[in-house]
Amino acid sequence: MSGTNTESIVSEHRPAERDETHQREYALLDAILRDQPDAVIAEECYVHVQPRRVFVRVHPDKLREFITYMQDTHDMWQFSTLSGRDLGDDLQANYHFFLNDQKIAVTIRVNVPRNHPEYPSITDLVPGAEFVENEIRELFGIFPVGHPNVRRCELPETWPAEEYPLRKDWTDPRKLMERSKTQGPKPREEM
Amino acid sequence: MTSANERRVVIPPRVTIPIGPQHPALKEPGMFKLTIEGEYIVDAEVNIGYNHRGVEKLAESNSHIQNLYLLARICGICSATHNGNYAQAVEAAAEVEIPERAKFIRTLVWELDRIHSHILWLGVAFHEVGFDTAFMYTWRDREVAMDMLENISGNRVHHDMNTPGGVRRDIPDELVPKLLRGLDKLEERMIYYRDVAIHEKTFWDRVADVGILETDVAKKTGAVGPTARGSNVPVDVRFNDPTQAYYHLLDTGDFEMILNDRCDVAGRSIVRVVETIESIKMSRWLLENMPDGPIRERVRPRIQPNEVLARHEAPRGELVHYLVTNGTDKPERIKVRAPTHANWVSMAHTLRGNYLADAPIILAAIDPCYSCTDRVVIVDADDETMELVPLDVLRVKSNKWYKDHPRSER
Repeated sequence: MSGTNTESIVSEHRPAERDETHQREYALLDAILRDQPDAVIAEECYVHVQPRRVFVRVHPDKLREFITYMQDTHDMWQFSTLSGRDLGDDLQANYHFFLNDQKIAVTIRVNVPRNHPEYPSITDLVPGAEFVENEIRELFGIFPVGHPNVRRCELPETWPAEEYPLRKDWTDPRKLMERSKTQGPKPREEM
Repeated sequence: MTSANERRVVIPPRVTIPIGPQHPALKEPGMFKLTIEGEYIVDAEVNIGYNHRGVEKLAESNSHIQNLYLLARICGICSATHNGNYAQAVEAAAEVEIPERAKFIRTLVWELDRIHSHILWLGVAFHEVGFDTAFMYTWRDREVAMDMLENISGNRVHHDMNTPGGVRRDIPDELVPKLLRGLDKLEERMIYYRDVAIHEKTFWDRVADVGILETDVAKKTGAVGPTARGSNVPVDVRFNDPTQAYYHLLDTGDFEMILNDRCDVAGRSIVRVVETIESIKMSRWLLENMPDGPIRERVRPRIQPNEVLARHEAPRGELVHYLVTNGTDKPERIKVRAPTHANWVSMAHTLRGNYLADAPIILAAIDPCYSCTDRVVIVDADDETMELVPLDVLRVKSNKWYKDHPRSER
């Protein structure tokens, strides 16, 4: 159920068949695998069964190089958002881009170890990522190193520095969820 | 001109004005720190996050059905978009194809939502520039769209039409002529407002060449929706990444993406007004060509492990839901990126170099869930006196300033 189970992480990938409905997506993925074999982790890259979705995992230290390659070669300029994941031993940052000319959404993801969650920031290459990289630092404790404008973005100023609320092991030490009565669904017998 | 022999150089003091963050009446507080030199804004900084409610954390402990209603309440104006986009994310994760009629009804509610949201924005824009007559007219006509939504869904604001696998209510055949009459009325009025916005000098002079957002800056900073399309950036999820009944709408070839190359507030206004007319035509096509059949498909509550990036064009721009499911009836992770969040990044650039009196209309031009500029503190740099100014006073002052400094004299 939680992200610590490695089998569930593997099986949440739903790769598509190589048929004519996913031709364009596979053409893009093949080009990426051909041009950047060192940057990507090939077994973690796939074309999703949902139309127009490609997921690519890259090495954290090659992220900036890979973004520059995508911008130069595939004209990638539309940045959607950055979402964090807690996978247990690893934390994950997912950059969602959309290739406006090819009409394919590319998700570029990096995994960082939980005890050293750092990777290079891309805000100077993609200015639109300024707010969301601050957000992932606050909510997940994933540190984009080299961010030009580090500041508090979403959480209150009084929030403790070492607490990252969207991690799965956040235990709500000050009983905030209880006080705001957001404990999730009621048990069935109380309904 | 003066009798003094030596010339005196007067440097206007640099003053920093915090606008916001708290607004007692509306939702979503935000804060803008404007540094001004005389009347010019030389620097701007945007602070957000005053209303972080922890919806993403809460959603991880709720079932998918409960999340539909939770996410609909993220925003009161575009509630149909969050609701519908989450439903289509769950369907994509479960790999279920929903019935054609459900797709048409879902798309119709989305388009009616866009119509009422754009008319609401137009009223706010008229209000911000002091054209209150048009503000009253537009909000009166917005009621036509609100009534149509109420007739379809039973609710005025939170429609909650969607469920995993389809929609919750059917549109009865006897309602269709009534809806078509409402669309005719709306179209007639919107064409009138389009002409008002373009030909009425009191409005046009306040928005033309104000708040310039160049095409390359809009691309770099990830602007979305009418803000980007007013700067000639072709981003519209309905056309680039269609889902639901938008496939059928695109197949007709009658509809096109509305773009404008003016790059200013006027461009954004034209995009919104013309887009509303386009939306009315889309709604009429959907009503006239709606297929018969069931309106929902059964989806099992436990969703297989999957990851889905669901995108939808909300009235304000691209809405992204990144949903990861794990085999239970609760999501493993749900990330929500609402369109206004993407437009904040370009806001600082847009404000720079404009007059302080233009700040309200520039802030309103991205159509934020507008709440922020209620209370302004003016700090004088020399003696550090503070003065609290509510938004109404700032608006009256700015309208008065423009009366004394008409554009033609500058």
